[in-house]
Amino acid sequence: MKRYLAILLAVTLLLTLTAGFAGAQVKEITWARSYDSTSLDPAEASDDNSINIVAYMGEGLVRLVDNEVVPGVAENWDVSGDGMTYTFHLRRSTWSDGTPLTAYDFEYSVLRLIDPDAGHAQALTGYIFKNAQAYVEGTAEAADIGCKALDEYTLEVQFENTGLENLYSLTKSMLIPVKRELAEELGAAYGSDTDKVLGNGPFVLVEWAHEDRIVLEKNPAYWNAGAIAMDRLTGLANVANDIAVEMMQTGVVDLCSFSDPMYSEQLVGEGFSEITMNNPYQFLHINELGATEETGKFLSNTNFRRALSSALDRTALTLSVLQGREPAYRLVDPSKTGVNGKFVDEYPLDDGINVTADAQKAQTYLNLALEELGLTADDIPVFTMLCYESPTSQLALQACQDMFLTALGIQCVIDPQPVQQMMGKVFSFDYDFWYGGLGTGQMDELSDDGILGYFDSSVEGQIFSYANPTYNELIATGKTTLDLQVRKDTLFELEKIFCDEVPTLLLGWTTLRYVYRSDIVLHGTNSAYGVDLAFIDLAAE
Amino acid sequence: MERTKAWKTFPFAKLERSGMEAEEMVRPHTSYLKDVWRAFKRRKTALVSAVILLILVVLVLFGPMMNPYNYYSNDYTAINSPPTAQHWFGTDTLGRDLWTRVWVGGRVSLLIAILATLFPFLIGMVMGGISGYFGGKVDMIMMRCIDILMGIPAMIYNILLIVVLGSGNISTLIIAFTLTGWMGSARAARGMVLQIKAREFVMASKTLGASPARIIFRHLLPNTLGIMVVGVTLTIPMIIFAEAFLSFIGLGVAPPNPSWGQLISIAAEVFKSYPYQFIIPCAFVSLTMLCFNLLGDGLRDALDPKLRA
Amino acid sequence: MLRYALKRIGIALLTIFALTTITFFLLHLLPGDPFLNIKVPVAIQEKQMAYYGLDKPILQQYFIYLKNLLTGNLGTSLKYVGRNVTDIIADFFPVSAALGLIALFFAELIGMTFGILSAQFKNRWPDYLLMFFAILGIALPSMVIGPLIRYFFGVELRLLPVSGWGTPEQIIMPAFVLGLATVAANTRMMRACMLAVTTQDYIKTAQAKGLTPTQIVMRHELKNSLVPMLAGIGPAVASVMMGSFVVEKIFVIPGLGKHFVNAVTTLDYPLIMSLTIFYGTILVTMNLLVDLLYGVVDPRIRLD
Repeated sequence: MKRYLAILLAVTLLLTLTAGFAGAQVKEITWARSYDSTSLDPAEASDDNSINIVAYMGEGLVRLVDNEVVPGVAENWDVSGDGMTYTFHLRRSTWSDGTPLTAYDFEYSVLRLIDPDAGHAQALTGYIFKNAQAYVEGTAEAADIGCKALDEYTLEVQFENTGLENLYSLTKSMLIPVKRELAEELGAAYGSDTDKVLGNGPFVLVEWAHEDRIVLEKNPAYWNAGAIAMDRLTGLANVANDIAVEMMQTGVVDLCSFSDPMYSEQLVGEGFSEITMNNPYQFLHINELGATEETGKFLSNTNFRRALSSALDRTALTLSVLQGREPAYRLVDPSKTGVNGKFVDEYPLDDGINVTADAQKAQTYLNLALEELGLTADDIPVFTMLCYESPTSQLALQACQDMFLTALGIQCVIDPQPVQQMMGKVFSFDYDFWYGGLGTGQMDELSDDGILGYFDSSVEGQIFSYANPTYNELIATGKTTLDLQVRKDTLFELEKIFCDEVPTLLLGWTTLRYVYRSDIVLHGTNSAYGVDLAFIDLAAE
Repeated sequence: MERTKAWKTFPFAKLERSGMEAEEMVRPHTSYLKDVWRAFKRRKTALVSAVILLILVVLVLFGPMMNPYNYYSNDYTAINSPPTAQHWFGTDTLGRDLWTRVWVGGRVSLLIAILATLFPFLIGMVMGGISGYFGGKVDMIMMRCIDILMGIPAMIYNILLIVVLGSGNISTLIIAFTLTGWMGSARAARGMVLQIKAREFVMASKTLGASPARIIFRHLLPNTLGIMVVGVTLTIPMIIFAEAFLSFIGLGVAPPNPSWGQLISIAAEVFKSYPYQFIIPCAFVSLTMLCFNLLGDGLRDALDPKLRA
Repeated sequence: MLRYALKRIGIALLTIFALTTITFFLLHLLPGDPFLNIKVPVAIQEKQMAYYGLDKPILQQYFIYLKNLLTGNLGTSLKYVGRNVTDIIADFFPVSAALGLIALFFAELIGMTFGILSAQFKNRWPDYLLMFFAILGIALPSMVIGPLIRYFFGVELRLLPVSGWGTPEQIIMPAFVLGLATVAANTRMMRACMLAVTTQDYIKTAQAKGLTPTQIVMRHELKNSLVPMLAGIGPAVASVMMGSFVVEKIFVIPGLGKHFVNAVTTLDYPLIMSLTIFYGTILVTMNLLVDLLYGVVDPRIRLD
């Protein structure tokens, strides 16, 4: 009798356990994106929606979490004294198909990225390694490139230049490894479809219905699978702002992002949570060469540019057409870190850029400029303003157009263009003003993708023609120093020059607002592509 | 006998007329166009529509002068304000007065609504008429050319036109619509001509020695007018909104010049917050549409020789 | 008839070839190139151009393209790196075609019916009512009606899914919005065509013969009104199968519509060429079918 009872108990226990498993919820969320990923090849992914999927599916040597570099595939590393050589000790890990991931995979991936015959869009990232550019230009061998596998789990990396940025650069999605066999088999088709990609990261690509949805599921073979709480992530594509709001309201979508607070306010009012993250700054770029010789004369004059800046009412812009942005009173925005705390606290600069229009100052600067040029107000030509074919860009330019007219009596003509034609004009310097955004940079404004580097005239092929030797020297110092204090000091000096000489007109700091279901718990952000969905969790009921 | 008696008591007197006088025309000679005008006047709805359109034209020309605001100056103290005593139609995102913008925009929209539909239709009708009448090789070549022109992506034309003719110009816009719009009416006209040319009156004309030009322009095409007029009125709203789309890529009036299509498509995004910005220009577009349609109906009834009977 | 059809097919192929050639050269006249990007240095942009063979002289590029075309290789997209353009079209065309054909079918059916009714009740209240709705349907474009309907039925009433593609409920709203303008236009056109036919002599004969109004409409008026309507159906089918840019955007439908516009603005040459060839083929085929139908609907029409 006792025996039967024991068996009955065991069976009941087993049943309840399995019932528990069957009833266990699959943790999943759906998030909305305004456009679909274009390619999941780390060497090609250039838009944010492709980069973040690549980063969910793959992992490089190191990872960026909350602006800090944390170990990824590399467990730990040794740094040489001059900061140019890093020796990474990789952990034992596998691709999502179970095959081992070694240092040779990293070596191959870098070679593949910079391969001149492959024409990969993101090849530039590979140039941080020593002799990479030389190899591409034919003056060095493949063996000289500063990314060598010393053995299966040791990778020696030598950088082309020194600087605090080096380790940060290794967190980029472009350096996520690619498996040799698959890449060679698929060639250019790598990363274009569900079955044409292989990763080693927290998630595996399960389904990619183009222009519709992308579905990722937890990768059990990931070395840190224990830290991943979500089972499934579904990303929808082509969801415009107003549709996103409706999908959130009907529960179809759990998370989305907006730059215009008009949409996020609606949802926050209905009980959703919100977090803001920094986005590229908004500029009205100046072409010092000018679309014509006449305009060039004016635009290359520093006082004229100061006049233009004084004429802009940035507060009014952010109240009307650039809603959701902060008017910029200096270059570096208040959320950026300095040496120990906030940059703006450690390096105060309250009046770097005018937040409201100062018509008197504008007129004074204009008169100075006219004097220097030996011309009169009648000689001021008509300027062209270039922008992308979106209604917001055109509205913003109309606002600036009116501001220049009211404060300075300058006439401008707006020239909207489709994207590649607009780019053509930018590269051929065929514009006077160009409405565009540029990155804040991974680490800070001195980073490779930050705004300051665009005005370094010692670099060939820049799209801006501002030239200032002191500026160039400061950039070189800031980028290569290994001392954070020196770096931030230099950044401050550069910021002052930027505000004073006005190589371009900064309009506002932009933020992205992430709105999400209130039971979602976010862990960590990533400045490269926004909220990191790999480490989110759902609060228990 | 009774007949003569009745004749004598009948209060009519016999007119003295010679043979030649009998041939005289008593009523004034009326041409085709005068006939059309007479029939048109009888349609009340068409007349009312014409009057409304005239009022719109007057407003469009003189409306902006009725208040002190212009269409491009920004006023950040009055952003997105609903209709008030100061701003009769309210203001937009940059604080610009909408009353002025609606009427200045109306100039562009009405102008292209008329020109950008008439030109392609006229050209299309002529081409379609020629193609349908001659048939055979002429028809084959022309129809295949139309196939090719329809197959080329419209965006390519548009961008090329901007490159060649420059942006921000209303004439570029009209040329763009003409180039892409004549094909639809050509196909429709051709179809109808194919149908009509088999009729007896065409055969009669040919027998009498009428030239192809005369047959096409005097007989075939007028018989297609009824349906073509309806076609024109149907295309007008399409043109107004297509203009908005094209103005975003640089083809069309340069900002800050407004047009109804642009006003509507920008306001459509903020419809839930500021409905008046959207409803007002939409109402005028719909009104214009309605008037053109009723006008078109009246014209069709007046032009079609059979319906006037 | 067969000889005529064969002749037309041969001409159709020639037409498509001419279309391909003209589009190819026009495309390369457009300023700019597909790889211009401020984040990518010019040296790397040049390598990308070289990889896709875009640095060769244009005539050479043309012949290479033709050669590849004959072997069935239409190339890979420049924006969706590595994806075959034929795969891209095969992915999205069925969606656009399904939505478009469903919408068009109902639009034509309902539109013609309304047009016939409107003509029968000319100048009485059914005519005015139908005309009012028709004019409203034409005056308000899909970009206006679409979001309104989507909000009302999707969010307020929660009757239908807000967007997306895959289930039958998701077809209802987009098909309605897509077809609305066509219904309205068809109503008016059909009414005009019917009215033009009603005044013909043979209708009087039919009335004199004692046929009922229904018989007159069905047997005589309808067939004779179809010719001008048919002229529009050919291009309508072709363009609706290619997907409506606006409707697909409003209802988040993964169709072909936006590619027609975006491919040109991003200068994705292989994609533009294959979309053109694809659309051209469908257009030419539809026009051919319509021409043949003319002869069936109205035997007086001779195409020779």
